[in-house]
Amino acid sequence: MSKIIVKPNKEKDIERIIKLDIDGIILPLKDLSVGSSFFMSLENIINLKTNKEKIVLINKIMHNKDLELLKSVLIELNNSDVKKIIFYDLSVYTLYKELNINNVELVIGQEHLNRSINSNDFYNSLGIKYSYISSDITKDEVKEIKENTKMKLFFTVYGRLQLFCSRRYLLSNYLEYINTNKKNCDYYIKNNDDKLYISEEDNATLIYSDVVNLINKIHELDFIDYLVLDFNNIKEYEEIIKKFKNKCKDEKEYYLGFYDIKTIYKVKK
Amino acid sequence: MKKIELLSPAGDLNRLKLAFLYGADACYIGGRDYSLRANANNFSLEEIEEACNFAHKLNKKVYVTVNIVFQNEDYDGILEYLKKLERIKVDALIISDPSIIKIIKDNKLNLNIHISTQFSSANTEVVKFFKELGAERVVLARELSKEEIKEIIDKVGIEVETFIHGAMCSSYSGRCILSNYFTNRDANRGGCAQICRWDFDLYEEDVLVESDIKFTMACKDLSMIEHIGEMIDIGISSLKVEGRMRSNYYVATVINTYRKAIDDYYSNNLTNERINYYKKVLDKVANRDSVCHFFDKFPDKDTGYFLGRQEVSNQDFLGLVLDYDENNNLAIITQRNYFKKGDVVEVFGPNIETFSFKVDKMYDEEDNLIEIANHPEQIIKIKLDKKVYKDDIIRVKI
Repeated sequence: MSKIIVKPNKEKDIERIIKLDIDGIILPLKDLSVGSSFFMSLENIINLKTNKEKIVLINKIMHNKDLELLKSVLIELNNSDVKKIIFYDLSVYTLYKELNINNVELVIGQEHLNRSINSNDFYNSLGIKYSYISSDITKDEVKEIKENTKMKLFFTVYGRLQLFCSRRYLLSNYLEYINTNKKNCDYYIKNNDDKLYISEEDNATLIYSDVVNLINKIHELDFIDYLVLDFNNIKEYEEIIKKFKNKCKDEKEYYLGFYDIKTIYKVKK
Repeated sequence: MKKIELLSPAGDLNRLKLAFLYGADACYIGGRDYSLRANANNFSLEEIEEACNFAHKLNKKVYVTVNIVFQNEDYDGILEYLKKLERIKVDALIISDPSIIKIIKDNKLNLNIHISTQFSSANTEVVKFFKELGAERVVLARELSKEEIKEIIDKVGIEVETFIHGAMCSSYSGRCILSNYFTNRDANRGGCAQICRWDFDLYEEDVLVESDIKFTMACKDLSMIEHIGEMIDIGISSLKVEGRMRSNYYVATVINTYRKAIDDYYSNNLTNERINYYKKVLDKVANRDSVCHFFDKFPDKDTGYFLGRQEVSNQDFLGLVLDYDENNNLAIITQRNYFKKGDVVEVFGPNIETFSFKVDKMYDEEDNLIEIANHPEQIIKIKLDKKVYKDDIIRVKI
């Protein structure tokens, strides 16, 4: 049976969320992760008391200046009750090996770079047993990966998909260019009917899709080991969590992301 | 000290030959499959072989991009393809999906591996990982400062390649699927529709941010001409020009300019005056503004491209020299853009010092005197006392 994993919208929601019927919680680590509406200090992550699986998000593309911090974080996590680390940059893997970390499992979470049987096999051959599978392939492709690899899969079934991640401060730069002050509010960009959430963080500017909601496909997703509900920039969570936990389908039509839409890459021969 | 490599894009055989002629040490090309420019002409296997044969005779190199991020169905035929590239003796493959390295190693293929910038390798550890995996070279993430690049080179001891010129992704490479979202074209398999260059309205919650200038993610192009010396000094192995879909004229001009700048630096002749001139040449050939981005400082508002889609097509390329008639002092050219009698133009080429002259007498193919050259591909003979050579280029005076 699939486990329900929740990524909260705010740190203050965590206490409430871990009391709900979920299996684990994703905690974005300050300074070493991107793409979250809040970031937690290592101390707060370690001190969080819960019987739910604690999974730390370390998905920033690392620069050399990050490596010392990363090392110390890995050592501390190894001595904590954190069970898994979702990582993007392979420096996390190399330091994990170098430091002999063995109390925490690695989850390769490279968003759009790891989306085939072969690439999952490659990471599995390095000893990585978990894969947060790409959001831009179809359910059938995800299923093929599950059926043909030893990987245990994480997959986003609710939340905004990360479409774009830049090192640049794109919002600040633009607002400065037009002589406007950046406000402490949510920003969106719009082109025709598409209105997308854009967020500038200390380490990145990110753009997200509409909210994907696969509740009406939930019965097709039994093969996924970890169903991720990502509440980044989404305030209401309780009802959604309950619906996924209880597999409550409804009659509404939701945005499904790339669930059944295969992308093309050759426009002409 | 090994001389730094100048690496040129080549969208087809013609541009590859031109790039080598104009000073490239190596070219990177895409095959018909598995390459991140799915809509470029790209090379058939026969053309890749011809490219390699041509390059190797000149003691130059050809790298083939196999840099899509693979999906399950993309692996069909990949082993056979890799074996063919091995037989052809390509000098390296540019790869972004590590699973391809596994295929190469499992099958003991004799192929050098370069890790594509698509992987966004930005630190010592990840570069070390690829070195240990057998990569010969890593094309670093474009988001690195000079100090970060140097530290990686010093600590890892592997060939490092960085971009010096051309269009930039504003996202970390590999971390953008805007194209997939808006157009269903897969950015990580060569279908990028450049959504980052679209204009968007920006909203604070539900309130439109009022401005005549729209929001865009687009950034200006890259130009590193002012930093060539520093790039050589910190130990970069290869300087890469972006643009497999660029024109002959663009490739010839950019490669010729960087060739000269690099050679000038090694011979202690790269003066500020020359850099300024080269900068002018590069600015003229581009249709977009260019800056330095991350190398010397963190990108600020001036690196953004907020000018809308005002890119102008370049019409400086006036003609390509086909031959020179020494008996009659006539340059025989094929016309590319409009020019006329009395215009001051200049000639540049791989084997001549750039010089300018005023167009005086010119004739059509039937030796009729003409005053304007206004037919693309028209054969024209221009009175020119100074000898020029096949494949030299006539352009508007810089």
